[in-house]
Amino acid sequence: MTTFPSLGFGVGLRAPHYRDFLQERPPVDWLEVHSENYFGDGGRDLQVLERLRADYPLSFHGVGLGLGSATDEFFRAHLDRLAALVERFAPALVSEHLCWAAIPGRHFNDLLPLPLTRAALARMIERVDQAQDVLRRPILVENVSTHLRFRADTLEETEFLAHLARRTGCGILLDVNNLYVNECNHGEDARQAMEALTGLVPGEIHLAGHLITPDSVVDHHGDRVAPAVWSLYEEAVRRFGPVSTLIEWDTDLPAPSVLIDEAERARRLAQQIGTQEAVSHG
Amino acid sequence: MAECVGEEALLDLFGEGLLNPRLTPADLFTGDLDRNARRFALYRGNLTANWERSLVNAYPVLQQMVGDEFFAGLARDYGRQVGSASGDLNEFGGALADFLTDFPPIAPYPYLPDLARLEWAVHRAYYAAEETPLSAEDLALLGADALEDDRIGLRSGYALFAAPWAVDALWQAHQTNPLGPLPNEMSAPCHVLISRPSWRVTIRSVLAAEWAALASLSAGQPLAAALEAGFDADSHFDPGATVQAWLGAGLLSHSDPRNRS
Repeated sequence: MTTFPSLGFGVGLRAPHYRDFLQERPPVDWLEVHSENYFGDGGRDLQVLERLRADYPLSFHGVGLGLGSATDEFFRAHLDRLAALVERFAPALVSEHLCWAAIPGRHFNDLLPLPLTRAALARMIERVDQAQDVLRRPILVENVSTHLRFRADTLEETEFLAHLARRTGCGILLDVNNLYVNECNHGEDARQAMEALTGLVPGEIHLAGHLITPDSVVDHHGDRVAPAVWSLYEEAVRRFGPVSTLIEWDTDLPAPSVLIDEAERARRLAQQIGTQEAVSHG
Repeated sequence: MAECVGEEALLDLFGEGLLNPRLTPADLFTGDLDRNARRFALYRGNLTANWERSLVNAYPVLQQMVGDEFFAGLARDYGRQVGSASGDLNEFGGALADFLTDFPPIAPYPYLPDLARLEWAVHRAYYAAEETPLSAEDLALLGADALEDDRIGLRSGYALFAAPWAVDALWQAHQTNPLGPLPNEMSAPCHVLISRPSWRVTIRSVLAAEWAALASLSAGQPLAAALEAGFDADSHFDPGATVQAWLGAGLLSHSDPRNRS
């Protein structure tokens, strides 16, 4: 099994927080950015990242590669741009999603739900292999939240991810909030979903807030982590041990201190569990 | 239906449904059809929200000019008809000026396509590669050869822009809150230099002689030919002072012209 560096507790870096991070270097262990926000040839975003890289380990989290798209049209060009960025910054982690994003002639710039079938798995294996060849490193692939499940599905999502990880050596980015959202939206048991990863250890965990709407629970990254998701995180830490953990926040971004507060909460929770386990095993 | 459809076709049906509400493929999914249709609409909503957010980011002045509601409709029409051709949303919207040219609702405002063209050029400058400016010392070191050296050109992040409308003044007025003075008359041609010295993009008007010189330079001509073009445009053109001003503003660079964007 591929292992990934243990980075501690980080937060997602978004442009409205650049100034705070440049001036104060808030106390978080690491930063994750959306890779595509740094695809420009130059400019403010890259300048800021160059300054922050000395003080924080970085993780590049892609939202536009579309690993599961049936069309090849956009894949290689996007991958090459990512590779240039990864080469320049040598980040600690590189990740993408278990999703698709494009049809011939059109990119949808979204994390769209993949049919969880053997055919989709075969294509994902091929794409992850190609990405890892070009990037010359293992990547992490994240479970996504969805509003819909295909009738054609023959696999559970984490089962799909476990096959993908075993076949390609890629890591798993376990988004605990997404497990919870899918539990609400599709009646899938989040704890059982983790069970499907037995024998594997996620290289990273995501925590975020969600929004309950009448039709569906939306993974909007615009709130504190919900109690039910903290409880699942606790379960994940018991099961997998300490894993690099990230607080994601994209909508209605609060002050950085709120994100850091959430990251500290995750740290305390993981430490408590670590102490309990040490006592019970001691 | 879902059972007999190949996996690739499932994604195509999903994609068609995103672009056309009448083609919502509610029966591809488990669960109640009405609920599926409402949930599918959430993906359609994401798509239009992404289009709008990206266009607002690249065209903030245009958005203020036409208002939120009109702009949202424009983003939806542009997204459906032209769409995105990149996984990088900062590249979305490059054809908006052309789209506006054939967009009947803005016909009473014929300068808006040129405003969009200016905003896209500013957007490109914002993401242009870093390039070290040519300094007076660098130029001195090049000696007399500098005049014929075609590696001297406009620095990355610097570009010329011209239009038959006063869209420069319109853009400038929207850089402050509250708005600066709006142009009294839109039908006045503009010639501007877009500059990104560090990371903020600014624009300034350029007079005919300097315009001719910079245009020649950005077309790949060496400094001697560029300065001559300036002099041809206006016999009062002062090449020495102009080059000093350019060096002071950091708008020249010395690099392989093939690498220049």
